[in-house]
Amino acid sequence: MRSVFAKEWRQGHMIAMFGLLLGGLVVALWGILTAVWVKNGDDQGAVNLFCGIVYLIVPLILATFVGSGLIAAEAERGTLPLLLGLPFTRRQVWLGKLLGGLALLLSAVVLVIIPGAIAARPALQEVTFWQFLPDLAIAALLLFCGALFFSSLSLSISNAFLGALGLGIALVIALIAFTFLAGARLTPYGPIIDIDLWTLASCPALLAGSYVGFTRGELFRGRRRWLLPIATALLVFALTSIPIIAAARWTTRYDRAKVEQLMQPLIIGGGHVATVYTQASQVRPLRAFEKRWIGDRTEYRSAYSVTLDLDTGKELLVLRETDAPVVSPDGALAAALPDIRPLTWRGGDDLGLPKRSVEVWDLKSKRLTYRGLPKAFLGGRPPNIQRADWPPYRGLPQAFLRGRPPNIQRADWSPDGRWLALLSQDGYDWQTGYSRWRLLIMKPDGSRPQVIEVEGGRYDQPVYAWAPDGSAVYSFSGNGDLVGFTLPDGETQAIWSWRDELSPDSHLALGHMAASPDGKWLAVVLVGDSPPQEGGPCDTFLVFVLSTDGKQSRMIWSDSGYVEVWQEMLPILWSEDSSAVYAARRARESQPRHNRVEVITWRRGDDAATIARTPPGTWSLHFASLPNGGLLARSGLDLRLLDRTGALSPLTTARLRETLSNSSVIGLDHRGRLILSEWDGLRVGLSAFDPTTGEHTHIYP
Amino acid sequence: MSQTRFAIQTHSLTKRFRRLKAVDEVNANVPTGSIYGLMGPNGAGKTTFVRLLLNLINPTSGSATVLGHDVVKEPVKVRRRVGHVAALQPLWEWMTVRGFAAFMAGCYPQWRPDVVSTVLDRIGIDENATLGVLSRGQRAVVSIAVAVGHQPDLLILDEALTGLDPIARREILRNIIDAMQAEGRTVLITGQDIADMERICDHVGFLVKGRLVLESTLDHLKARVKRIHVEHAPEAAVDLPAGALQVERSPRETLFTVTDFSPALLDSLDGSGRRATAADLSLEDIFIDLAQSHTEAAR
Repeated sequence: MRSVFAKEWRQGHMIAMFGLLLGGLVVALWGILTAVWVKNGDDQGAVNLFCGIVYLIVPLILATFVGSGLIAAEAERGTLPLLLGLPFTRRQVWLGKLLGGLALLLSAVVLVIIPGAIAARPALQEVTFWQFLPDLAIAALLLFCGALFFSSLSLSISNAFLGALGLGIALVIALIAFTFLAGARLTPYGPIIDIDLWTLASCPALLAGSYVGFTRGELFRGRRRWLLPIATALLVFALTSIPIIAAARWTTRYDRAKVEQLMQPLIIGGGHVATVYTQASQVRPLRAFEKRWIGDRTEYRSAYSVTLDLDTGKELLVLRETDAPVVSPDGALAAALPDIRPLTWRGGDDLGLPKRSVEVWDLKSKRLTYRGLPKAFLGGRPPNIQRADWPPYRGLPQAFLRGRPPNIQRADWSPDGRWLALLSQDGYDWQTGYSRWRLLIMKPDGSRPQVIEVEGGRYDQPVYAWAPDGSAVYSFSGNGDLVGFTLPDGETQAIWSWRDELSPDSHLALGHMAASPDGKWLAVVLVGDSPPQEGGPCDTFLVFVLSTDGKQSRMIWSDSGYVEVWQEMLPILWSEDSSAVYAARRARESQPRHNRVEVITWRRGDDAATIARTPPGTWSLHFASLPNGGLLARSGLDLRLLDRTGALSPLTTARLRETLSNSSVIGLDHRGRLILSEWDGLRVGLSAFDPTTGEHTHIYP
Repeated sequence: MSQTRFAIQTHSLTKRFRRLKAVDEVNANVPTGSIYGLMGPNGAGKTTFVRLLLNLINPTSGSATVLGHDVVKEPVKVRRRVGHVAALQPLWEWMTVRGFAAFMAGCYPQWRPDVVSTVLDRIGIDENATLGVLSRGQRAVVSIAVAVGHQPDLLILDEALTGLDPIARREILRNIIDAMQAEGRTVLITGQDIADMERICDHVGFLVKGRLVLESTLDHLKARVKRIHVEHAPEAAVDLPAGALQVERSPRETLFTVTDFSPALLDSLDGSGRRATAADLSLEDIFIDLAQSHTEAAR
C-alpha cells in the first residue's frame, strides 16, 4: 500500500504544482483586472467576486482530475493489470490510491489557496467569498469521491477517464438539482449547507461503491460489475443519509421550550386559533464557521410560524420558511405561503421574492391537502414587483422577478370558509398611490379557480369585501365603479360609482370597505388629496353606506380636515346586528405626541354620524367583537369599550393594568378573553386574561 | 520454501464471459522446475488462463493452485512468488528504469537489485532512461528484468518475447530462463513462437478454444505424435485408428496424424498390400495439426 501511495504521489505531484500555477495565474489576473477595471471606475468588489469564483473553481477542477485519474486513467493507459499483478490485495491497492489521491488533492488545494491568500491579503476584509472555502472544500471532496466512484465503474467505456470526469461532474449537478428542484432541503441555513450535508452523506457511499467496484468487480470484462458498486453506493447512501438527516432535523427542530421571540401574533379562526411567528434559538450551530458567516442575520435563528389552539395552547401546525398561515373561519384549514429561496451567491434567503404557490393544511390531520396553484392563475401580466437592478436582486434570473407567476402577498378565506382568496399584487404607482391587485379565488382543493381584478386602495392595500355567506366579492373595478362578483359563476354586476355622486375630477382613492353581517349593506371609505401627493396626509375623508344591490346609497361622513393616514389605514366595520358603522381614522394634533384616533359612528336611522376621540397619544386603534355584541377598541395598553352610541368607555382596570404591565393585548378569543402577548425580559409567551373573572392563564409556549 | 510436485495445477478451471467460454474445464499440471510452453492459436484463452493463475480475474468454476497456494484464497502469496510479464505490457512511462525498479523493489521484500541490473547491463539499457522513450522491445526487456528481480519461483512470460530482437531474445532465453531452470525454478511461456518453445521447453500444452487438448513432455509428445503415410492399392481402404487427425486420402495413399503412436499401430496398418511408414513431426507441425483439427471439430 505504501508503494502504491508513493507511486500515486510521484505520479500526480505535477497536478498539485499545476494548481500552484493556476492559482498564480488567477492572482495575476486579479491584479491586472484591478489595475484596468478599478482604475476605470469599476467596483473592486466585482473584480474580487469574479476572480474569487474563478480562483475557487480551480481546486474543484483539480479534485475531479485527481479522482478520475486514479483508476480510470490507469486502466486507460493499460497499466492496471501491472498494478494488480503486484503482491497486494486489491483493498491495499485501492487504499493506496485513495490516500495518494487525497494527499494530492490536499496539496493541490493548499498550493492553490496559500499564494492567493497571501497575494490578496490587503483585500481580505472585502473578499467575502473566502467564507465559502469550507463549502468548496466539501464540494472538492464530493467531486473527488464521485470521480473515483465512476473511475471504478467506467472501465468498460472506451475513454474511461473522460467517462469518469463527465459522470463525476454530472453527479454534482444531479446533487444540486436534487437539493433545489426536488426540495431536498434539510436546514434553514441555506441551500449551500444543505448541499454540504448531502455531500457528506454521499461521499461514504461513493467511496464504498468505488471500493466494491474495484475489489469485487471484474475489472477487465463483464458488465455486471456496474450493479454491485451502484447497489452498494445506494445502500451506504441510505445508511449514511439517515443519521445526517436525523441530525439536521434534530439540530434545527422546532423546540417550543426555546422560543425566544413571538412576532405578529394574530387571532383567527373565530377566536379559536392564533398564529405567531416564533424564533427558536438554535441548539447548536452546524459548524462554528456558521456564526461568522451569518453574523447577525436572523437566519441563524430559525423562524417558524406556529398555529396554536387558544384553549389548550397545543400546536396545531408548525411551519418553517412560510408566511404565517391563515386559518379558515371554522378553524379546520390553514393556508400558508411558502418562502422562495433561490440559489444566488448572496444566499438569496432574504430577498422576499414573490410567492408562487400556496399550501393548504388540514389542521385536524396535520396533512398537506393542497400545494400549488391552478393553471388559471399563472397567466396575466407580469407583476412589476421589484426592479431587477435593485442591488439585492441584481444578477438574479429574470424568471425570479417577473413573468407568469403571480405576486401573491397573502391569503384570505371567505367568511363561510368555502373559498380561499390569494391576493396578487400586479402593480403599484408610488406617485399616485394607486395599486392593482388580482384576487385569485379557488376552493381549498384548488378547484373552481376565479380571477377577479381588484382596485387597490391608497397606500398599497387591496380593497374588497366578502359577502358574509361567501356568495360574492365586492370591489372597485378601477374607475370608481363598485362591482359585485358572484361565486361560483364569476358574474360581474355593476353596483355603484362614486363618480356619480362626486366630481369626476376628484382625486380619491379607496380606503376601506366592509360588508354588513346581514349581507345587505356595504360601507366604503374614500380618501384623497388635491393635488395627489406621494405619502403624507389626506385632506378628504368620505364614508359611504350603500345597499349591495346599489339602489340605496348615502354619504354618512365627509370632511376636509387634515387626516393622517400615512402609516396605517384604520378599518371600517359594522356592528354585529348590522345596525351601526364604525370608521376610525388618525387625526393629527399640533404636537405629534398628542395625536389621537377619531371614531366616526353612524347608526341606521340616524341623520348624522357622531365622532368620538381617544385621549391624546393614541396612534392606532384595533377593534374586536365582544361576546355581548359590543366592540373592544384597543390601543396598546389602553382598552376601551365602544358602545352603540359611539362612546369610548375606558375598560382597563387596575387588575388588568397590573396584568398588562409586561404585555400587550392582541385580541379576544372566542370566549371573550383578552389574549396577551407577554415579555418580561426573560421569556415570552401568550396568555389569556378573562376580564369578568380576572383569571390570568398562560397559554404558550 | 516447500516444494510441490506441480508448480501449477488446475482442476476443471473454467472462465466464462457471458456465452463465451474463454477457459473451458482446463486440467493443467505444470511440473516444478519445468519450462512449460503453453501454445494455442489466437483467442485460445492463454492470456485468460494466465490472469486466472494470478487472480486478476476470478474463475467461473474449478480451482487452481500455484506453488501450492490456492489462487483465489491466497492471491497475494501467489503473486509474491511469481514473476509475470504480459505481452506488450504498458508501463508507467513517466518513470525512469531505475525508478520502476525501485518501485518494484518496494513491493517485494526479497528484491535483488543486482539481478535486475545484470540483465539490463547485458542488453544495454540505460537505467536512467525514462520508460516512455524506450522502444517497445526495450520496454519488454525492462519488464522481464524487473519480473525476475524478486527471484520468483515461477516466471510467467505471457507472449512476453514478442517484439524482442533476436539478440535480446537469445540473451533472455540463455541467461534468464536457463538460469531459472538450473536453479529448479519453473517457467511458463505462452506464445506462438514454436521454434523458441521447441528449443527451450521440456513440457508443452496445447490450448484450443479454451480447452487443453494435449499436455505432455516435449520428448513424449514427439514420440507420440506422428504422421502416418500408408500406401495401398486403390481398392484397399485403410481403417483409420481412433483419434486420427488431418486425414488426407487419395486413391493410392492415405495420410493422417496420430497422437498416441506406437509400433503396434504401424504393424496393424502394414501388410495386405499396404505399406505404412511413420514420420516425426516438428513441434510446429504438431501445433498446426492439433489446432486445425480441433478448430474443424468445433465447427
